Amino acid sequence: MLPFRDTLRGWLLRRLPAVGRQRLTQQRIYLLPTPFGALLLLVAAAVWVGALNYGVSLAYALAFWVLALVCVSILMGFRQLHGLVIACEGWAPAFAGDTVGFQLRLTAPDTRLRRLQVHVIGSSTPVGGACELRGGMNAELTLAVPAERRGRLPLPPFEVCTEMPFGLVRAFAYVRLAETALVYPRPVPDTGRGRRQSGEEGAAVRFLPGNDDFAFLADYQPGDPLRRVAWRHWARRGSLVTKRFDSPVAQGVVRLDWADYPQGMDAESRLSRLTWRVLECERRSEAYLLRLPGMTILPGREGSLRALALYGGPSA
Amino acid sequence: MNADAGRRVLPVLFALLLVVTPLAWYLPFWVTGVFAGLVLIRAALVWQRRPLPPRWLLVLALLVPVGFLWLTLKTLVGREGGVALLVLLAGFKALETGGLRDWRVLLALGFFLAAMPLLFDQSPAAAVWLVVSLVALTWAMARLAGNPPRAGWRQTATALGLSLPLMLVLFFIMPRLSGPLWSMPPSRQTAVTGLADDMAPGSISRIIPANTPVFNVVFDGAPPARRDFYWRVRVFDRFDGVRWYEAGTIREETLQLLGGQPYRYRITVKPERRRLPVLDYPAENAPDPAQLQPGLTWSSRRSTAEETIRLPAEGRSGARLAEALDPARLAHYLQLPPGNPQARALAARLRQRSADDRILLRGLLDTYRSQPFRYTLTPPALQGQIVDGFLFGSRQGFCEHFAGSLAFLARAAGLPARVVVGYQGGRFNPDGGFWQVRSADAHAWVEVWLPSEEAWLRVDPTATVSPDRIAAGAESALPVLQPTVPVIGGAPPAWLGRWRQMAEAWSFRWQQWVVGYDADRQRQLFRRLGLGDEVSAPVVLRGLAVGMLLGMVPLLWWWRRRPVADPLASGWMAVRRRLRRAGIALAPSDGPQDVLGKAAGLAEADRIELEALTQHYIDWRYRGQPASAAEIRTWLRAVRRFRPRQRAA
Repeated sequence: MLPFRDTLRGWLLRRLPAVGRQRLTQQRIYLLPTPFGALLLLVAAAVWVGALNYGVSLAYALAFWVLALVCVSILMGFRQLHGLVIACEGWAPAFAGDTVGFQLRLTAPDTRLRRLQVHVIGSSTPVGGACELRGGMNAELTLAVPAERRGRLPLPPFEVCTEMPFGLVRAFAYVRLAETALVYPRPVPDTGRGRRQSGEEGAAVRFLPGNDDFAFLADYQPGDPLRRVAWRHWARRGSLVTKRFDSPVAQGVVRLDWADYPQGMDAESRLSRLTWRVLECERRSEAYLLRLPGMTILPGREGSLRALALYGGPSA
Repeated sequence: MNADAGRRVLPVLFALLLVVTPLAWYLPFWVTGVFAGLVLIRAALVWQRRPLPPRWLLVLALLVPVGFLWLTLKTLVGREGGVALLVLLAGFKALETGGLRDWRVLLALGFFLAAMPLLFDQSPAAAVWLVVSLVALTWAMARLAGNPPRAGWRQTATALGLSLPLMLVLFFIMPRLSGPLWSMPPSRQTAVTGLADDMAPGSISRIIPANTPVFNVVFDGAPPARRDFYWRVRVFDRFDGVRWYEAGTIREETLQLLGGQPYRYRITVKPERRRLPVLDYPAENAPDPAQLQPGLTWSSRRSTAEETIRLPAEGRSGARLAEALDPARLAHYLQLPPGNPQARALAARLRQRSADDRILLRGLLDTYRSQPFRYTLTPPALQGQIVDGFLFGSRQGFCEHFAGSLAFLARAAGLPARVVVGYQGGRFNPDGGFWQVRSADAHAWVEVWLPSEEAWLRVDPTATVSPDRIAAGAESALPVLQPTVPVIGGAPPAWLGRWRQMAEAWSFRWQQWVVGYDADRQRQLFRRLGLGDEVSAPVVLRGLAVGMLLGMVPLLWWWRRRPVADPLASGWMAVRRRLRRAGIALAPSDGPQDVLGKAAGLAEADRIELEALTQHYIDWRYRGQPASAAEIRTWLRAVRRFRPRQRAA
């Protein structure tokens, strides 16, 4: 790719706002002749020169018709994209090193046959797909974006392009959708080696949040079950509090702790191992409790993995 | 890229075959044959998904036909050579075309090849074939880009249809050059038609092989009388006993045109061996590329023989052609080979009897009147003393016998004389507003120099024998010849003549507005459209702006048109249209049930059909019963067939 084209593309991408759903209009659609289109223009020029020189009048007609055909196919290419609505319907979380599948939905404004290609811009490996819209239907397309590290993965800017109908003109649009996927840490098998073996394991936490005995009242947190809200307290005082119960540490509850690892181990390695252990517990249907510095995460796959993914990040 | 092209490339090969087909008429037959063979082999390889032959083999195989081409044509450039080479190279390119990019290069080559037949022929048929080629190429392009066949056709039709007005605007507005950028090597003369280089008994009959049009003329203002329609092409100043020919020694220093009626006209003609016909007598200034030649004839400066040119010309009809002949030139125009003693004796007798040269000339012409001469296109052959043989023997012949013998008599009698060949007459085409001269109008006459007046006088001995030939043309002069010479024999039936005239008018317009559309014609059009008097940048820009606005109208219509999203809805609209056409008044608010109610007056079968159609529509549209695509298609077909009619009262 030519360097100036990269510069131009970078400039265009910087100007590109992230939107929830993108409707392609003339402000977003770019049109360039393909090498084939340029070749055909060259042929038209050659025929024109020949017509000029040999005074072959009908050859003028041919040269001009080809020229007009290229011009009309510019408009036809523009119409392929014009009015198209692109939105992201969701994504499936993935582990670092895998790919996140962003579900795109492309909706056409009319029944014209459209054949579109979508590529992620600036990705080292080609990421993209093709879809065909006909009869006014809409199409779904999954963009499998490689997730290199844990955390939030914004849907990268991508290009929607088509060379329809004749391959003479490439119509394309850059789209940046405001959609962010979650990438869990890459699980690293942790079979016990490297874990700090200490005797204070049992003493650190006496109780697990449980269901058995009422322990205390705590301020209501969003997400607390409604049946544990102390409604009488609310009626009297006007503030929401939740009843908390403790249950004694049950046998077989696995404690997954940030502090399980030697001092020198870096955060990512710890998170990867913890992720593996969470998955392992889930697989064996074991009860577990995850503790990260400054927080204890309630059991549950999504919550635990989410906490691991976002640990230390700006929105953690 | 290699694998995904698949069988989608077959339309490319098909289009190439179509494009090259007309070249079979103009190139050595085996060239197009080899090309078709190569393309078909490639198509078979594509079809069977077999690999391409190795490239070294192709290069070796290419050498054979190219070498053969060299042996046949002795050249690889020029029109035949260059085009044949290009066709062969395209054929071999097809055999080494693999990836999508290669196929596209081949397709672009196809667009270039589509221009090649136009070098040989620009008739309306060639234009039709050009359109066919373009459709095939564009469809191939759409298929190559991955469109299904039917969508490809639709896109092809849309794109070509929308670009047609733009093409026409560019065609008429873009400036034309008046001359070539570089000259083309002259091509081989394949067939020679028209006037011969010399005139010997029988040569004029050779030039009337058919009644083909030779040139067209449009007069600015009133034309001269038909009997003054003498179109000069060549002047023969030397006779060797058998034939009259151009010695190439005419010099004219003292030529002067006196008096006469000036005429301006435009002539559209294909030069015959660089000769152009010109109305007697041409003015001195010949417009490019015409060039005034000795003997007051025109030749073309250009070497491209087949190119039709249009010229504005000026001439004076009935002018006196004054020239002072010095003794050397007098002797040149009096030169005669020995022989023909009877004719010489007759000339000497007349010379003695005549008081001045005008009386002498009249006496010479009277010879043809006093004896039973007959005008015929099938005279007996003459040998040996051909002038004596004609004047005192057969006394049957056509213009060249008369002209040749009179020139001989005049020279023998001491009057300088020469033979002029060209065309006499022409037919007016009222549909096209032009005069057309055909090969059957070829003619020969004599110019005699009168010493007392020091001027050349046009003398047409044929006119004294067959005045009709001059007043009405060869066709009406030769009624008796109808059965034997059908081509020029007699008048065709009236309807055929009418039809032929219309066809000629159209082909004249085609010639004027398409094939012969040049810088001059363009200037005329600009003036007529009120764009400006000349072809200059602002005028062209103005023309393009106006033209493009007009050319965009269909484009705008296409832009605003939205395909109907729902086939069911469009089908129901069609049903309503048909009912309305059958005379049933429907309000826009009428639902399907209302429509059924209002259509009670339909014929029984139509009403039942309508009920079925409506029931399906209601079920699918309102009852939420899903219909398969096939069901909807069947329903739409039924809608298309539905032609309701009111019950007979």
